[in-house]
Amino acid sequence: MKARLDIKKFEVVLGYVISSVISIVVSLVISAGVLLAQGTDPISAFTYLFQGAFGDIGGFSASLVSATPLMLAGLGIAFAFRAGIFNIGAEGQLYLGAMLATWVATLPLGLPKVVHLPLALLAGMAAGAFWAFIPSYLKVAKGFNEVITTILMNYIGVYFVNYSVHGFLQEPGGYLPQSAPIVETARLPKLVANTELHAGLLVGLVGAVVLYILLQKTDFGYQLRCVGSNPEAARTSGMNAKLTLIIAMLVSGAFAGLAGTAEILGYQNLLLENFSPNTGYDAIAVALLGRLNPMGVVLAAIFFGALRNGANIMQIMTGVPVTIVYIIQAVIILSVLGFSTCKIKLGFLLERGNKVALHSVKNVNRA
Amino acid sequence: MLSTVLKMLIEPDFLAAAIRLTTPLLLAALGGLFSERSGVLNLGLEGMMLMGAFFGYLGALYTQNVVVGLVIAALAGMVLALIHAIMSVTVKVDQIVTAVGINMLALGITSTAFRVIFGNDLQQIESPGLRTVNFGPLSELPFVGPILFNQMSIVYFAFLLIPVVHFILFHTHWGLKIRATGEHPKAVDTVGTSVYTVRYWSVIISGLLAGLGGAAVTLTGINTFYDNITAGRGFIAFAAIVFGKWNPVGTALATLLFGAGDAFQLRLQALGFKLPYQFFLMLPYVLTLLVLVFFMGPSKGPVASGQAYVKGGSKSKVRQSKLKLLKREVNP
Repeated sequence: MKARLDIKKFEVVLGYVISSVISIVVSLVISAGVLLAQGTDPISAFTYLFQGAFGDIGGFSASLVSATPLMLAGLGIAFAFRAGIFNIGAEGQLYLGAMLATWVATLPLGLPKVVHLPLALLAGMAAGAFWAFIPSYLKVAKGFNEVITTILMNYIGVYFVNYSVHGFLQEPGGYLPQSAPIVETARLPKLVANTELHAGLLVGLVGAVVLYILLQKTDFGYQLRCVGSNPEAARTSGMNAKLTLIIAMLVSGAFAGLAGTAEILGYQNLLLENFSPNTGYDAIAVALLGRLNPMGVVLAAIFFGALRNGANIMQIMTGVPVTIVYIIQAVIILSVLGFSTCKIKLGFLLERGNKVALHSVKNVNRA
Repeated sequence: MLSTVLKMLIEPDFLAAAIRLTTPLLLAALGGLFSERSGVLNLGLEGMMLMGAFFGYLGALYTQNVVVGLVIAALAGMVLALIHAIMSVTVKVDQIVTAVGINMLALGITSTAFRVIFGNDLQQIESPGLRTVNFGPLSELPFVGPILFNQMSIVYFAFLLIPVVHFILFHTHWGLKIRATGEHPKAVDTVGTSVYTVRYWSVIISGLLAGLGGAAVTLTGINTFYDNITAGRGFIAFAAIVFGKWNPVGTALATLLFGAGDAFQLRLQALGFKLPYQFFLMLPYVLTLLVLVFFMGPSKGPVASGQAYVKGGSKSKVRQSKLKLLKREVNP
């Protein structure tokens, strides 16, 4: 029984992998068409893209640095989506998280690193969670569509954070719209010498494992998935759907806040205006490509991070605008969605493979 | 200080600006109504507006003819709407998620094409823009003249569209079909009308009008383009539909409120208030959120909104199969 289930799972995962690969190929073919139309040789453009993303240790670590905020925000978005609540507000939550974390991290408290750094991380999570709480409360208590409220909160949050670096967070005595540099005791440590790779990546990986366990192995995770896939059934079976939604959104916002926090404490080391354009929206694509599965989100974030970082090199070498990444990402989203609804029949081969596998399992048991 | 602000609110200058700034929202929201009423959520309005804004500018610049620009803007909105329709009606993907994809696609297409055509230094070349319509002596009238008789043609088009859309939706056979499709697609299917055809056309019309709305951003004064120039107006138009309870007149009033909010923040900045400008930029979004929370009960849209229609399949069947899947996942 157990073996059959695992094969079923294997089949599902294989289907995901195949459809994701197909969508990535489709989007690359379409962008190759765009490049050709523009008069750039797509082969050389993609070669630069690949080299920039994975070519050497510096490029690869830069890709992972770009992947880190996408991973954290993507994990949060995927978590909320699993509960059936659309958190389009990761952008605002990420900015708010970065702002509060910067405030805590620029205080010259004289605290040791073991206290100051976790404090700053917690502040970022709390701010993100708070910004996510408002729309979730409005949804649960008053029935307002969370999509529209989270989008409005994005604009309000981003403008407010941009104001903060002109206002109360501006470096004392400075003229530029930027905060004071983050105090050394609040910085995320570097993972590899001479690169920008910082411990934010580890935070993302640990977060993915935590979310995976929470979703798949706990009662709360089961309840959350029930609420997401069939709210009415969940309600009739006595689950508290409202509370579940609010908790899901708080976790989601905390992860988005952490995404902004890690970017500041690990990489940028001070807060700037528009420091992370569109990360919260790109993370939606990451969550979708990762099939709302924490492990899938990690892989998708690394792929998107590589795409972002490689595109910079591509622009320098061939003059193709970085913004082409948006087209690639959009086509990936649309084709992932499209292929996920088409049932991919792997044909009799897999079925036969099932039978063979089951047969061998029986034999093993007998032996 | 308060009296200055209050005085400003009844100045013809402010009211004229409010009407002008309402126009893009109004066009997009009236378009969105068709799609919403037919049961397809259209959060892609933002992307469709952005396409219209860019291609309207491009068309007007290359042909030096604003009308051609408007036509191209409408076509660009329709092409994006067609993708939305294919994804959400035929492929039956979640309509909100599709919209996220097509909004990103629009951002990618417009900003990439802009760089490819104009180079990376993004120099601003002005295209010809829409002109104000001259009503002769009427335009000279005090107070009413500048507000009502000194606007651009697209403004009149947008406001005339309110009764037209109302008539189409509530007094024609076609409008009945659209509304019925949004409320009870199965019944529509049963009487032999194709749910898919109705939804396709409704979404495409919303793309047409949203494209024009986008052109109304670029071709009424700025006459140029920059990245993400629509800045969330499509989402505000979507919110206006919800405020307006899926009704053309209500929707129009809601867009007028946001247009006024936008004009208000511009005036306040000009008055030299000692507030950081980010708060002024925030104002229309805060206003939208506050109106939503304090003045609007939760309103229910068309019943079938957001659900893909599966011919011959019933909702309960889908639910049962989902439940089965869930059971299998939980108790192996």
